[in-house]
Amino acid sequence: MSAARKKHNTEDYLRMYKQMVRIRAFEDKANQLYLSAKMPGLTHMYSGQEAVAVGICEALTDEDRITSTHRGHGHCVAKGANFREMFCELLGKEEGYCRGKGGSMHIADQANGNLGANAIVGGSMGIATGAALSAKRLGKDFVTVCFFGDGATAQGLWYEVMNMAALWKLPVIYACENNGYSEYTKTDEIAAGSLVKRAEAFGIEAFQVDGQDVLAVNELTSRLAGRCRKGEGPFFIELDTYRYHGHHVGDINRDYYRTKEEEAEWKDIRDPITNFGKSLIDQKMFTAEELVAIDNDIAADAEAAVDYALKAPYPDGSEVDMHVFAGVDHALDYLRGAR
Amino acid sequence: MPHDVIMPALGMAQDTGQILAWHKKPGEAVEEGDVLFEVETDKAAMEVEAQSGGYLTDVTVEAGAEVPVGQIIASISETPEGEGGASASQEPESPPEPAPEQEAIAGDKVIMPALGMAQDTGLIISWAKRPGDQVSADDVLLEVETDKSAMEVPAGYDGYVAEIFAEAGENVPVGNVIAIISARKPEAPVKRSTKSGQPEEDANPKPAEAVDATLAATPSTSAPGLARAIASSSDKLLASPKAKRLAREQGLDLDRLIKAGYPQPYHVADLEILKALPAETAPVAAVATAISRRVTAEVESSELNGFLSWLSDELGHPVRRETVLAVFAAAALRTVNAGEIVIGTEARGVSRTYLDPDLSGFGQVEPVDADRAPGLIVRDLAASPVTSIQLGGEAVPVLSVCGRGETFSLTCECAGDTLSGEATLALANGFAERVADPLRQLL
Amino acid sequence: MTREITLSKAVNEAIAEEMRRDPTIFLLGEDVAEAGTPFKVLSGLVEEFGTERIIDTPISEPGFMGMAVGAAMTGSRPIVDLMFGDFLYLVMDQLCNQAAKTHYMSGGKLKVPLVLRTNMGATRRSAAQHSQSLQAIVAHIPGLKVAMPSSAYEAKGLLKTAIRDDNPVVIFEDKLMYQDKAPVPEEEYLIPFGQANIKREGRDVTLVATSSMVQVAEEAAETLAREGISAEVIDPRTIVPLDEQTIIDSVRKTSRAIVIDEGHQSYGVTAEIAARISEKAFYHLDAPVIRMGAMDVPVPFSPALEDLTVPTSEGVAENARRICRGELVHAA
Repeated sequence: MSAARKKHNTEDYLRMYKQMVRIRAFEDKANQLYLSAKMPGLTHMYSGQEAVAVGICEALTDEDRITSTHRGHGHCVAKGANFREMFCELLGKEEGYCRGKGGSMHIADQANGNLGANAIVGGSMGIATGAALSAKRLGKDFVTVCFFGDGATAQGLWYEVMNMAALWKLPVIYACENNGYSEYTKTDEIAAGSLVKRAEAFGIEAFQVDGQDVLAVNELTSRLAGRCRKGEGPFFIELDTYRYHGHHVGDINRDYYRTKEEEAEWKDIRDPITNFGKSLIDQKMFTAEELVAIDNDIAADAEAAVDYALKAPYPDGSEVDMHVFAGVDHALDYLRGAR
Repeated sequence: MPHDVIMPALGMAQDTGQILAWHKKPGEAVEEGDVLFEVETDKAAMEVEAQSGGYLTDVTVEAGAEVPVGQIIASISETPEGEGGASASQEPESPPEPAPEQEAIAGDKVIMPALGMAQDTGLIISWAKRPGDQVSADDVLLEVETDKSAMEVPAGYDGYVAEIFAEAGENVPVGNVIAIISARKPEAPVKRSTKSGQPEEDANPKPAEAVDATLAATPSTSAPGLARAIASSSDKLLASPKAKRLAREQGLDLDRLIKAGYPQPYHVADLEILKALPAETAPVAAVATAISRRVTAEVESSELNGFLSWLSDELGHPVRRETVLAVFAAAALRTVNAGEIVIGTEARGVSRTYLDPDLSGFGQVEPVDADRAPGLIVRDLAASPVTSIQLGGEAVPVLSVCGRGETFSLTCECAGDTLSGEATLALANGFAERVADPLRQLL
Repeated sequence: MTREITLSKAVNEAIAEEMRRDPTIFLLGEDVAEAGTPFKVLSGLVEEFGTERIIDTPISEPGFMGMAVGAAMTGSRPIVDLMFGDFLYLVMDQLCNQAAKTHYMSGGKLKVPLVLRTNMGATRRSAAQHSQSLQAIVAHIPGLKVAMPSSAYEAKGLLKTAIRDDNPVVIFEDKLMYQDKAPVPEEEYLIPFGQANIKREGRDVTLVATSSMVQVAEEAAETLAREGISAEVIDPRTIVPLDEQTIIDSVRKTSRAIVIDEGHQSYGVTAEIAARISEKAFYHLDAPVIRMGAMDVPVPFSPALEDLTVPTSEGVAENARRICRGELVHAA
């Protein structure tokens, strides 16, 4: 390996490591906020799946778009979002990415190409494919990645838009994060046959990859994104991964659908951050102490962002009918015919 | 910095958790991830881990206790003694952040409203809600007696009656806080009387609050004259909203159509039939007494205000608005009522009496002794938040002036037996024209 | 210069003019290109703009509706052609959960400038799944604007405004009016949203009518005029936003109102407008506000039955007579 190549890798690897740790730190704080009854509503933890979001988003440009899911904090962080605005959004504060109107399940970060999380399972498949149609029609070279879970493969919308994406060779990558559970049900019980073959039936090139291996995910996505830009899309990737928490933060007693032993095995043996960290140390890119220092810095960042968000103001009541329509300050007057 | 140990939200619909056992003792060292205590929620026992390392201190809840979610039950401190060196068993000097339920009662203040008249206190007749009751903004909270009538005062806010500061029977100054409506159900709702501790509202209550309270206050019997007119011989009168409104404005009694045998429902066209009915003798008088006439007008306030400053400059001393209004009222009344005219004015709680004020120059108009019974009362409410008046006919006709921004809203009310409909209209019109164009009075 | 053209031609012109003006506009739907839709509304567009901008889709309504949302969020201004209004039920998630809420949920960051063109109207003998008028269903959803052109003139002016709007707009064209002609200027014009059109002035009763019901109301007004009853006819043109003031002012003048719309009567457009009149003109009403919508039954196939389900000019005139005579239409 040449020195330049190695340096390049070192920077990329450090970034990927940091981004995964940031996601984990964000989710740990979000979970604490819920447990301590400081966060309104529920949230869905991404912990355990970090290598998927980071491996993919690190292969994308700022111009590239993603659509995200109800389990979307990881995608959002990986695509470049800030802790502060994210925590503010989780707490319904004015400075949140969506001025407190979206919350955990609807964070959108237009500036970084995140077209938004979606609380309807599979709800963003049309949006992602439409963004790809936009790119092709307008002659832009951005690629769109559509994140969704294994549960969403049961939605008919996917087959409609895969059909059109394949017909029109759209620059879209369908990224199915198979974490083994569709809400509270094993994926085996809701999905017949092979997910990969479903995509292949449309003539779409499909891949299966270890979703706990950030480098494997990143390498594959880089290649497919490049091919999308050359008009060779769409593609499908099934990423095998695991969610450490329940379906949502309130899903605590989950023995009836999966064992503690199974959870422990994934956490102990297949944790994407631990394993990637070990390989960085093994390759002598970083020392264990350096990585611990990184972890601590990020944890402190997350802590500071939470403190900031807890103290941040809520939106003014007058915002309640703002942003209903673009170009209309207050919807209620407008709806009554005010000019 | 110590970290709070908080009763976690574990189940999806869980408000409290029961602590089954503490796995650490006060003062004991803990590491992040150590099991701190065990909680029973909906169905299962759950172990709760420490979110940070340190020493378990300030344990406020014992095993067995049922604790609301979100409540702080202990701290993880940097020293075994806990925050400020206090031992775990002692009360901490500054108590930990209280759980929401234990906060001092905070909420929206309900004030004794200015109920429209020149009135500076209100007598609380009764409370419709008790401390701790849930209320909607529109719910009647209490009944207040003012000069002439009982008024129902709505709560004005959604929430719970957290505190009541005055008992029924107490006379409370306008603007004073009489209750607190809290968003959350209060743990310990309070009822006191003004004698036992009346928190003073700001010296100058915010006008917006006062306006809201006044606007929201509705008479418990609306337009008594009208109510009687309609309900006298039939328990149900079918008429269109517009027909009813016009009948009220014109002092017409739709009941007479029923008596004359015309089939219901009545519409605007039927008012012509009603007007053409032959006048009744005795019953007419009764109806005339019962009904109450009301005419309203709106004029720009700028002319009168300009006139007042001009006049004050001209005379070299400030001229009271009610004096000028008394002159205008007398002049307007004179067009329908010859002879001596005594005008009573009521403004900001002060009553004055004027004798034929329109017959002397503005410079000479002075109040006379109050023993002359006025034939017409002028109420100047322009400085108050009241925007509209409907009190029904009184012993003598009343002209009320309410003000809001650029506009004066003028109301002429009288009992049916004091002035005819035509005379009421002429009085109201003459008064409004003069307020709208004061110079006309000089010419 | 003004000439008479069909509503179909007016829609076609509006799309062509806007597509020439703005290259980010494209149109997608089923059989929109060479076929020009079953109603031939789009004939000729593919010849001018090519299949890159007039895009034939598979029969996948949720799919292409969702794609339009994504395209709109990323710099395009798509026009979706939904062949029948009845298919709205197929696209509800994409339209109501995604398009309508995206701007709000993103705190104003994302915009969804798309137009959903579809149709409405019964009496084409198409039975229950191709005859519905579902405007009330989308008008119920905050974040969607809803236009209901009543003639070729409105169809063109409202559609051009819709295409330039930065929000999702649903336009309902009455499929029975595609061949109806009306004077349409050759010069460019737009019709702003939220501005009702007083089609005819009157003093005794206000007839508020949408889409093809405007014609029904005008016919009724003609009949009533011969009997000495003067009816005012108001076409709101957009039901979201609704020009409340024009309607309220009219009812305050006439004291009576009948609201006519071809959607089902219960919980419908007529109910909403009637409620607003009752709230804001109550003391000026000399009669109950009458709603006239489609009968609350699925649209039947048989002509003998279908014709019973829609409001007619005779029905409107009869209701107007009764309330003007002072009869309580539903007196106990």
